[in-house]
Amino acid sequence: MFINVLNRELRIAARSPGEWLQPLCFLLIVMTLFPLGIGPSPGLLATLAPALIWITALMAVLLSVDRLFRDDFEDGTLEQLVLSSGPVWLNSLAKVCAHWLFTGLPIVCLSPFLCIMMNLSSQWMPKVALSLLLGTPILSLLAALGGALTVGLRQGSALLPVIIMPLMIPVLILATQAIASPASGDAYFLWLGALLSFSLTFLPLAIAASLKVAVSR
Amino acid sequence: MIDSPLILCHVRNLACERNQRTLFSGLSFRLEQGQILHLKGPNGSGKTTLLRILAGLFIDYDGQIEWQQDHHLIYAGHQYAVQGQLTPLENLSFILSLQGIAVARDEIYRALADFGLEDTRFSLCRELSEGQRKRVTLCRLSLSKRPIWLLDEPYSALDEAGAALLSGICEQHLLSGGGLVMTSHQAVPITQPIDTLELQPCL
Amino acid sequence: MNIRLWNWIHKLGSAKHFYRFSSLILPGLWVVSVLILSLGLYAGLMLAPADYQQGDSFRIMYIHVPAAILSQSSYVMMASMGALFLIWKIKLADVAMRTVAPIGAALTFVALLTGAIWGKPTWGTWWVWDARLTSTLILMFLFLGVLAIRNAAGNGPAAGRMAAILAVIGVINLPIIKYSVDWWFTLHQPASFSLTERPAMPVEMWLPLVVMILGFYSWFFALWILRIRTEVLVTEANKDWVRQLVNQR
Repeated sequence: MFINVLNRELRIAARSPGEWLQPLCFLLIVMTLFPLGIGPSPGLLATLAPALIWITALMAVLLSVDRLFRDDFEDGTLEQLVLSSGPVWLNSLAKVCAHWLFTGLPIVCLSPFLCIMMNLSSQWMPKVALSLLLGTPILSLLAALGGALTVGLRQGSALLPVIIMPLMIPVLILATQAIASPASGDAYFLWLGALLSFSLTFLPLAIAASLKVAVSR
Repeated sequence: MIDSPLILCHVRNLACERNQRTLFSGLSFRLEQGQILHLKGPNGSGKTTLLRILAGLFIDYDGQIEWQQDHHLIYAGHQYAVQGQLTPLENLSFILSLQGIAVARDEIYRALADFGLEDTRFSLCRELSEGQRKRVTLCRLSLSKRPIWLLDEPYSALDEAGAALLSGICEQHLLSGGGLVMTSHQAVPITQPIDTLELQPCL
Repeated sequence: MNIRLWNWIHKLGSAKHFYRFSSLILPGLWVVSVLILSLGLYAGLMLAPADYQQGDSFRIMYIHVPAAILSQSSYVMMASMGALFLIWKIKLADVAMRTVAPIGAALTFVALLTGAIWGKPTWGTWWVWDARLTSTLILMFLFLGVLAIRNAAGNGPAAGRMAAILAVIGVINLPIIKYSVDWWFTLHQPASFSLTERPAMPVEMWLPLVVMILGFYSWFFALWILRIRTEVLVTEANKDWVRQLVNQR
């Protein structure tokens, strides 16, 4: 059943490419704004780069998560997901997986270009990519929780960032430190991995609980 | 008529409050095989809430609901659960798979044809009219093999032909030992014994 | 004996019994908290000696530290009430949760404000990104999140569940956030910079602090109980015992 939900999400995403391309365009545009605002000095940009890339990735994920549950809520599919005979948390996990494949993974793939834009030399690219690879799934999971909580509310999409951003702060701190610290920074990647497995264990359950509440209103 | 029908569902002393208003209290009834329970009442009397309580979507109630078996119901509410970016085939096979039912593609095509939708095989559901999308939901009902159907205003958005199809599958379902609970403003045009439960808004 | 105690605690979950029980203890609690707070304030403002580094401006600590401690405990209490509501469906827990959220948010704001006031004479700036103040700011956002969800979702039980889920996730995240902020701070500020890491204080200084903390706690509980009572009267307005109470007045 996980495969079925995943399949469906991938099919829908493939048929409406605008929906998931939009946050990525947003990412690229904002990354262009930073040098325009800060000034083109390569040294300064390179120093700020990990944080800027990460904050922009965070915002892009937040932007893209609203459609995750809202469409299904409005056409009644969410009710059927909640009523399904399989566990709701597994269905939720499948949806978040699909969301990450179309949001987080493209960001990981774009990261070398973002590094180039920020004058970050190529030795940093693997670290940036790895931090995004481990961190964006956590962001997707947290953002999905926000989406599930706000899906039935009138101004839900405006409320989502307010609710979820404080919870994303540890990811931001860990990831930027993992990039910026010297070779002994591998420990930070392990911490990031630990946070990821922790989130994978608990957050789908919370998302499932929120969906059940959303559907009962 | 079925001899000695099985009781599919037994409800005792159901009470529910919403927005500090009592919707109903002390409600008790049974749903038997081959029986239709028709929920009647003016707007706001709690018909949809009662249906959603039976479906398991709404959980703030007092009282007991006993079901004869698990994974037995199918709920079709006001929304059709039809995703615009998918074809009818994809929609149906997905929703049925959510209920653990795997249906062969040919069977789905046959059901679509029965409901007059054979031309829409390759269209995306957002290109269908509302009545056609409703018929896709009806296909889902006929393809699922579950004994209890909970339908919220099933006859809305259907033309005469569609209504006749709906009555047809409902009768078939009842004759094969299923139970049906539906809300409807109008009289139910099905030639099977109907039990009516009328809900009045409490003041 | 154990069974009796358990039964009594269980009874407290009912709005009616809670109301009756709180009618007995609330006046006493107010008196106690006012007494302790006055004692603490007097001791802290008058009796404690001036700090050799900061002079008299350190005295804002007597409000800042209790407020900060209480803001964190109130978040944990709020999340516990949320968990009670989610798991055991006790309606009073929902009432308790939504009444404590504004109190906690206000306390966090007071902690932030007094932190800024403390910073100005000590470090010359209104704000400093040290570990404690940053964590308090994040806590403020967590509170605002719960309040925002409550506001948007209305008053029904579904709204209570949403806020409870957010609060529980927040409380699980709280140690993670604190740990990562502390670690972030020590990485970037190797020299000891923190407003709140101080050399050992003499008894005359920290004793009033303890008294103030106790006073804050008792005042907090008194206020919370009062709010629960009011809220209970509103939500159970159509019940007989409430009507009787109103008619008696």
